[in-house]
Amino acid sequence: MPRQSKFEPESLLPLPTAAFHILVALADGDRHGYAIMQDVAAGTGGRLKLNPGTLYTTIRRLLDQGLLTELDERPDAEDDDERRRYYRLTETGRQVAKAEAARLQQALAFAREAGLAPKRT
Amino acid sequence: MKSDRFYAILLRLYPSAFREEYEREMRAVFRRRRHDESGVAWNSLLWLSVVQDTLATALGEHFNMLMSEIRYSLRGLRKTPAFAAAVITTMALGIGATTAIYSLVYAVLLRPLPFTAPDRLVRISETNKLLDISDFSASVLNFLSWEQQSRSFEALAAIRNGSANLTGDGEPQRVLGISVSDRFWTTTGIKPVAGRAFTPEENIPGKDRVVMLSEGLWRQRYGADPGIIGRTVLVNSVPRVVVGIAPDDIGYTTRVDLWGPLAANPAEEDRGNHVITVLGRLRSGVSLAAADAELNSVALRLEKEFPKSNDGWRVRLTPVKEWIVDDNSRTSLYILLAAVGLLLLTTSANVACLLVARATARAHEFGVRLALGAGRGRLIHQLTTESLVLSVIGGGLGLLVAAGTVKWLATRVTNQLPRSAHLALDWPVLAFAFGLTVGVGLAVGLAPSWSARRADVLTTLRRGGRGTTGSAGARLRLALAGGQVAVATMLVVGALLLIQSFARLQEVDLGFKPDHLLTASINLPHADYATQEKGEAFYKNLLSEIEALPGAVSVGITSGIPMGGGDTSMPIVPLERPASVPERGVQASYRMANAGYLRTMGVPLRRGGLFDESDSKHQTIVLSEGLVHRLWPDGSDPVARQVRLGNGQVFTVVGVVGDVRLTDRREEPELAYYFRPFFLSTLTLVVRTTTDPANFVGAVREAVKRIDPAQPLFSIRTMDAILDANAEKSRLQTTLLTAFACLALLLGAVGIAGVVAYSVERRASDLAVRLALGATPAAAIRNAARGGGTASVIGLALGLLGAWGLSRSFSGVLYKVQPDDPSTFAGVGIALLAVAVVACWLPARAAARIDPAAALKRE
Repeated sequence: MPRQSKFEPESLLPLPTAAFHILVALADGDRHGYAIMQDVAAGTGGRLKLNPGTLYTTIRRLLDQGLLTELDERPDAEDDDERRRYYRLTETGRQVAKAEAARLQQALAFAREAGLAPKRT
Repeated sequence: MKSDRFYAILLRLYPSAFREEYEREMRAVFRRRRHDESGVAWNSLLWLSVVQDTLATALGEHFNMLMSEIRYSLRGLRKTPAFAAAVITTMALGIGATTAIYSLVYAVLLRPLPFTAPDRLVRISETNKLLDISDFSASVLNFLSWEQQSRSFEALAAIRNGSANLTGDGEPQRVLGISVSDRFWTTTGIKPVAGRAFTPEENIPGKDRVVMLSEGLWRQRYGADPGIIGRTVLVNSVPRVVVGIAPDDIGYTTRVDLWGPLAANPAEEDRGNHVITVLGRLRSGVSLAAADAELNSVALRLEKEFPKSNDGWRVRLTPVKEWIVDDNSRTSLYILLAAVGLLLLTTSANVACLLVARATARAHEFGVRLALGAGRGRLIHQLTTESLVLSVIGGGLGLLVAAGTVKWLATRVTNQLPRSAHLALDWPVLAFAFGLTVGVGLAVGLAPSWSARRADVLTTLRRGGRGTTGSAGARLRLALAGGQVAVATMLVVGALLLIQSFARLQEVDLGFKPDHLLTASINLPHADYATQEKGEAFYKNLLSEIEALPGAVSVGITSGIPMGGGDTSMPIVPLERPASVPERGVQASYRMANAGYLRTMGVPLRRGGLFDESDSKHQTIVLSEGLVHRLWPDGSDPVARQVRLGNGQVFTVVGVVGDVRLTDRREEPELAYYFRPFFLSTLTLVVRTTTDPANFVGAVREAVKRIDPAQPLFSIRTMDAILDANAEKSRLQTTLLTAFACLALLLGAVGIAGVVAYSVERRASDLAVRLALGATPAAAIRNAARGGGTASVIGLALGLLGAWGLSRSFSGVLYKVQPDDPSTFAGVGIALLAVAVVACWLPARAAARIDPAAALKRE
C-alpha cells in the first residue's frame, strides 16, 4: 500500500483495551473469534472476558482500519464441522500494537517513579 | 437451546448489515462460551454482562453506520449542488413558515396560562336581555353582593382597569394600571415576583397608599433595582409606597404597568356603574352550570332588592380560556395553521418529486449496488438517510426563516391577538420544529423508496438505468404534482376571498374623515385640578394654543375616539316618549366631546347646531342620525326636545350628526350621542392639520408644557395609524395567506413543468418514432404534455372541491364576501388553468425539437 509510508501508528493511540488485547492475541498466529476470546482471558488471568458484541464490533473496526485481515473460512480443529472465520494481524496492526505497548510501558514507568507500581527487581 | 434462541433475538438489535456479516460467528462464540463455562454457574450476572454489552455495542454500531451513511449522503449531495439547493430551500421555506405560525398558535392557544388550575377559573360578566347586552362589566356593588351571597366559589376577584400619571422620579409617564380586590391573588394564583402582594388591610379605603410595579415597568423605569421596594412614588400626584413587583404575564391583557388595591368604598359606588372585570374560582365539585344557576339566583334577589339599578341584569360565566382567546382570534389562527399546513404539504410534495427524479436518475447506481449484494432494505435506508440529511439542513435554515418571521410577526400582532406578547421561538416551538423536520424527512423519503422498491438488477442494468423505477417514479411524480396543484388551488381561493374581504373592509364609510388627524390623550389628576372649572380652563388654554399653531386647521376634545378601543354606553329616552320606545330607553354609545371635536373629525351636521361653547349652564346634547330614527321613528324633528340619560340627567337636543363607526369597521355604526366633557377624566385631543399630522407631535407637546409641564401627553397617534393598527389582524392574515398561496402556486407550476419536462426526456425515443412516422410537432407537444395536463386538471378540480368544502369555516372572518363566492371560484379555476397550460407548454415544446435520428441512435 502506498499509503503505508505516511502512516503514523501513533495516530490511532491510545487503543481501546479490547482492541489492544485482540491485536496481542493475534501476534503469534491466526485465530478465530472464540480463540481470541480465550487467549485474552488467559493473558489477563481471566480478568478480561470479551463478550461477543465487544469482540466482533472491535474486530470490524480493526478490519476497517486495516490492522487485521480476514482469512478464508476453514474448519475449526476443536469444533468438528463448523467452519470459522480466521483473522490475521497485518504489518500495520503489528506496528500499532507495538506503539501501544510502548505507550503503556512509558505510563507504567511514570507510575513506578511515583511509587504507584512495584519497582522491577 | 433456549438461551441460544434468546441470544439470537438479542442480536436483532444490531444493524442488519452487521448482523449479516457476524451473526453466525457471534452465536458460535456464545455457544462455545456457554458450553465451556457450563461448570461455572451461568448465572444472571453473566447474562447481565452479555445483555449490557450487546446493548452498548449495538448502539455504537448503529451510530457508526448512521455516520457513514450521512457522510455518503453529503458526498452525493456535493456532487449535485443545484438539486441540494432546490430541496433545502424548499424545505426551509415549508418548515420555517410552519414553525413561525406554530409559534403564534403556541403563544396564543397552547402556552399555559399563569393561573393555578385555570380550568376552575371563570370570568363572570353581567348580561341584560332588556337592554340587549350579552356581555358587560360588573358593578362594584354587585360584585360585593356576589362575594357575600354566593357559595359556588372559593374566591372572587375584581379588577378595575385604568391609567395613571407616574411622576416624581424622572420624566412624567403615563402608565396602564389595574386595581385588584384583596382576594385577587388567591383567586388567580398569581404571585408577586419580588416583595409582597397587598394585604387585606390595604384594601380598605384610606389605607390603600400602596402600589406594585409590573416587572416590565420595574426594568424599564427603575433598571430592575430591588431597592425600589419600600420607596415612595407619585401616582396621579399622590404618594404611594411600592410593596412588590408583579409578573408581566397575567394571562388576559397585553400590558399592565402599575398595580393598586381596589379599596372600593361602597358608600361612593353606584350599583348601576358597570366598570369591573370579575374572576371566580369554582369550588371543587361545583360545575360551571351549577355555579351559573346559583349566581343567577343571587342576581334575581338583587334585582328585587334594587329594581332601579338591577332591572334585567343577570350573570354569565365563561371559562377563562374561552374568554381570553375569543372565537374570532381562534378561527383566524386555525385558518393560518391550516394554510401553512397546506403550504408544508406542497413543499413536501415538491421535494418528494425532486427526490423521485433523483432516484430515477440514479436507478443505474442502485442496480449496480443491488448486483453487488446490497440488500433492498439497505438501499431504502440510504434513501431515507439522505432525505433526513436534507431535511435537517433544511430545518436548520427553516429555523432562521422562522426566527425572521416571528420577529416580523411580533411587531404586528402584539396588540391584535391576546397573549401574543409572549410570541417567541422558545423550547416547545423548537421541539415542534425538530419533530416537524424529522417527520418531513421521513415522509418525503418514502417517495423515492417507494419508487425504488421494485428496482431489480437485470431490468435496470439492461435498460440503461431507466428501468422499472422509471414508470413507478413517473406515476408517483404525476400524483404529487397533481396534489400540489390541488393545494395551491385551495390556498389561492382562500387568499382571494380574504383579499376581497379586506378590500371591502377598507371601503367601509367610517362616518368621519380619518386623514390628517393627530390624536393624543391627557388626564388631569384630581390632586392638581380639584374642580371642573380648573380643568376647563386648562383645556380652553390648550385648545386655543393648538389652534394657533401654523398648519393646524381645527382641534377638539373627546372622551373616546373611534376605533381607539373601548366603548361607553348608557340608556337614553325622550321625556315625551313615543309608544315604540321602551320605558327604560334605548342603550346607546355616548362620547363626551366639544363642538370642535365633531367639526375636526368631519362628522357631518344633519340638523340643528352643535354645542354653544360659551354656554356651560344648559345641558345640551347632540344625537346621531341612527339614534334619532330609533327614538322618534315617526321622523319628527328632535331639536329642542328633551331626553333623559341612564344616570338620570336631562339634556336638550341641539343637533343631529351623521352616524360614525365607533368600535369596529365590520359592525353597523353605533347609535350614539355626544355631550360636553367632564374635564377631569381622560380626554383625547384631535387635531386636523394641513400637512403630515405626525410632524405636529412636538408642537402639541410644547403647547401642553407651556400650560402645565407636569402633565404627560400619551397615546399619541395619527388617526391613520390607529386605523392601520385596527386593520392589522386582517391585513396580516391576508398577507400571510397570499404569500403562502403565491409560494404554493409557484411550487405547483414548477412541479407540473418538472413532470412534463421529465416525460419529454423519458419518452424521447417514443416521441422520436412518432415524429419519424410523420406526427406533427404540435401533436408531439400535445402528447408530451398530456400527463402533466391531466394531473393539473384533476388537481385543480380536487382543489376547487376542497376549497369549497373548507370555505364554510371561513365565513366568520370574511366581510361582505360569500365563502363560496362563485365568481371567485370560477376566476381561480380559469387563472390556474392558464398557469397549468403555460407550465405544461413551456417544457413540452422540447418534444417538437427532438431530432428523431439522434434520439434513436442514443438508444
